[in-house]
Amino acid sequence: MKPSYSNSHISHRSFPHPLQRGQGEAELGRKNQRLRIQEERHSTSETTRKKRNSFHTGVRWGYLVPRLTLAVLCWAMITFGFEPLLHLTITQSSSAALQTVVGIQQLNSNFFKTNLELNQIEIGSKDRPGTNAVEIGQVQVQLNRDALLRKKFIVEYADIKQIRWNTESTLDFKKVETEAGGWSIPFGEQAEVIGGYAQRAGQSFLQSLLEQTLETYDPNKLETIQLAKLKENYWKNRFQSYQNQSTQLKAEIDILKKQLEEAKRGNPLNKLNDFAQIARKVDELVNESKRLKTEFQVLPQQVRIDLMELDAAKDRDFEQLRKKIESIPLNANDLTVAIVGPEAARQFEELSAWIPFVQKCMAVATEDYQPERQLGRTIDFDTSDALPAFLIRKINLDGIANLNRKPILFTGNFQDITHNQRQYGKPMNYHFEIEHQGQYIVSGKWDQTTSTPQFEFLCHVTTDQFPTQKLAEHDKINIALQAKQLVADFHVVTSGPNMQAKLKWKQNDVEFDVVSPVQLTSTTLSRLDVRPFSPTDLLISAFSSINEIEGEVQISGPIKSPAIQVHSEIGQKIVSGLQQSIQKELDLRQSEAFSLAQREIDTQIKKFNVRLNDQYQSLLSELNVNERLANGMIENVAIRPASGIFDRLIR
Amino acid sequence: MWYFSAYGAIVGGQVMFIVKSLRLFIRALTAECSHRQIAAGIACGLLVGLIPKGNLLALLVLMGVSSFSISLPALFFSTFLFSWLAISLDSVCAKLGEFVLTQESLQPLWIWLYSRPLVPWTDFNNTAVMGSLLLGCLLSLPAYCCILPLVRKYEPAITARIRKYRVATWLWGAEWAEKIHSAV
Repeated sequence: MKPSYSNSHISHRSFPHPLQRGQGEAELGRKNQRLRIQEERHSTSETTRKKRNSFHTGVRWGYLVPRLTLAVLCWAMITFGFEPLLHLTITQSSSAALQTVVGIQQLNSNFFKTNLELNQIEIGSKDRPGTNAVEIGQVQVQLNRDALLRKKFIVEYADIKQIRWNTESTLDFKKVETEAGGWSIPFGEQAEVIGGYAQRAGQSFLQSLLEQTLETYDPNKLETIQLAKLKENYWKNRFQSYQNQSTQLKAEIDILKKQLEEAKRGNPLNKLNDFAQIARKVDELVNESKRLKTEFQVLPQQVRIDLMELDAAKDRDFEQLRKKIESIPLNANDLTVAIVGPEAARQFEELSAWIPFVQKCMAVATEDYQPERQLGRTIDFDTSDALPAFLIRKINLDGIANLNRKPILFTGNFQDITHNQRQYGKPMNYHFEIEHQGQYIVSGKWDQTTSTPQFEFLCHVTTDQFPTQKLAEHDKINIALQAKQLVADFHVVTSGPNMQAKLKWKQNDVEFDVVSPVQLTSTTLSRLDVRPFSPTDLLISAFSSINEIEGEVQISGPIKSPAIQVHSEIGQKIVSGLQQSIQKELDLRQSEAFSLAQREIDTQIKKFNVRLNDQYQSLLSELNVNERLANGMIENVAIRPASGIFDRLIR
Repeated sequence: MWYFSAYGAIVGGQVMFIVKSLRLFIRALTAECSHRQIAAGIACGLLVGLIPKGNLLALLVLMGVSSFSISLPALFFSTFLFSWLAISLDSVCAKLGEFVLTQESLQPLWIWLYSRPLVPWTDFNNTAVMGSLLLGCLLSLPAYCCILPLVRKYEPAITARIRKYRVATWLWGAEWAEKIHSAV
């Protein structure tokens, strides 16, 4: 038996030494301890040597097993851990990028075929916890394997299916802290500006139309009517004056007759002075009568002059009314804004709602992804081709959007999404088609190939369902618009801090609803049984000729305070129609008015003539009688005394 | 009955196989290595630790050095330690990498390398990665030479001390394996 060097053997035995116990006991103990340690070490090294020999004799398990195990762990990681790791990475990175909670129910991938399939993706709403802002049914991604080997994420195609908005969420919303803010074009403000502008323009147009243009057409204000009234009064007064003169003449004649009768009764010689005075007065009366006669002969000429004056006034009225009508186009811009403004505002609101969504998608898609720990500087040695490190050639989208709580089917795609467009040399393009009460086609591009990035947004709308729009509300007239078909094109280009936007649209089969709650006041003509003048009828007549509306709104300048211009032929068209209606109405009115005025004047003149003739004749006869009487009196006064005296003197 | 006994034997054999495998793995992992292997493990850990992680180069270097007959615990311990120290050396590594990567004469080499599949995943074109790789390579040999005497001097005492702990005994696996073996 070989001596055993096991620990137990050594520990249970004391080392034999001739110097047993006594003074050197402590020293022996220390030596014993030292030897024990040496033995132990010797034993351990022996054991190791034996084990190593056993390793070296066969397979080197001590080397092989850990390394094989590590290799198996790597394989297991790729096979079983890759998908969970990818799932976690995608969930966390998308949560960080979108700043909201994101959940993916299922993720399938094929490491070697470089494709990826995600099912049931939920993106929580920032504003409404418990609700998904977006829910995606399925996402399929195919990566380019060769590019991936060269560290380039080239997505050949991606299909994102069954996108839905505002669905009930199963996510935990406590996880993510959201950041406020975000860049977007303030189109809502622009829409409000246009809406307010349109409202004011509508008020202004109606104000000017009603108060400045139509109300000046009050027949009472026509010069012809006013002049006719003046002339009527003048001739009335003049005849009255003649009447008075005639009456006075007659009275004077009667007085003279009495004086003459009294003069005959006494001694004629004593009454010579009286006769002489009567004779002088009679002469005066005769002269007065002759003067009146002469004036009467002139009166018809004066009447003709007055009628000519009335004709001139009529011409002036025509001219003035024409000028008023011509001044209406000054309000065409207001009318244009009033009519096209509400639709422009509505279009802006609806169409621009897509812009932040598109921009957000692009911002997320084209973000320059950086490693978590950015160290040093990465030098690009890629000279092989123009492909950037991150590129999505095409993403197809389809789903159901939510507009006014109504589901809308849409399909679309993004093309050439990359973080480095300058290297790639192509802008990012997008295209969407939405079916909702018509068709919406949204397309555009985001061009960062130039020094100033440009964002372009195009939208073509064709819809046959159109809400009634209030164009203008006035205390006298309300105007509303109803259209059956709308075709609109919206084009926005932002270049750095500036923007250019153009909205063009055409509404077909339009109908205007003009309502006036105010009863019209009576006028001179209305009192003369002429139908009342109605601005409502006038506007209805003007609008009746309009079947379609075309408009254009241009916005340009800095994004935060752009200049807005509204262009449309509709204002001019309506004003033209309004002018025609007013012209027609005025022609009718004028002919009516002038015929009435003419009739009135004719009546007046006729009356005047009749009166003139009657009064003239009566006056004339009276004057003739008076003249005869006067002459008779003269004869009585002059011949009788002379003949009697001279007869008696001669006899 | 024979069915259950056979089933028990099969299950017992499987458990034994798993336990034996586990024991073998743990013993191999914690097996005593020579001082040279330990020193090499620490030196290689320096190289791996200096290189920023998250790229293929770090993984390849780790796999490469692991394939050598060196002490893996020393390697992992050293990697962990030098990964923290590497943060303070980032600026130095970046300057060194910048110098190497911007050398005109080496440009064709870098371009050729970058065009190879999988090579861009190594992030060798990053100045910090390249600098840390070079610094790690440069420091590995001197580190080995410095560490080897220290290992020779302190390793036995440290090993003896560590083995006193229960965890170390468990890691060694002898006791548990024997108990399970006898029980089965």
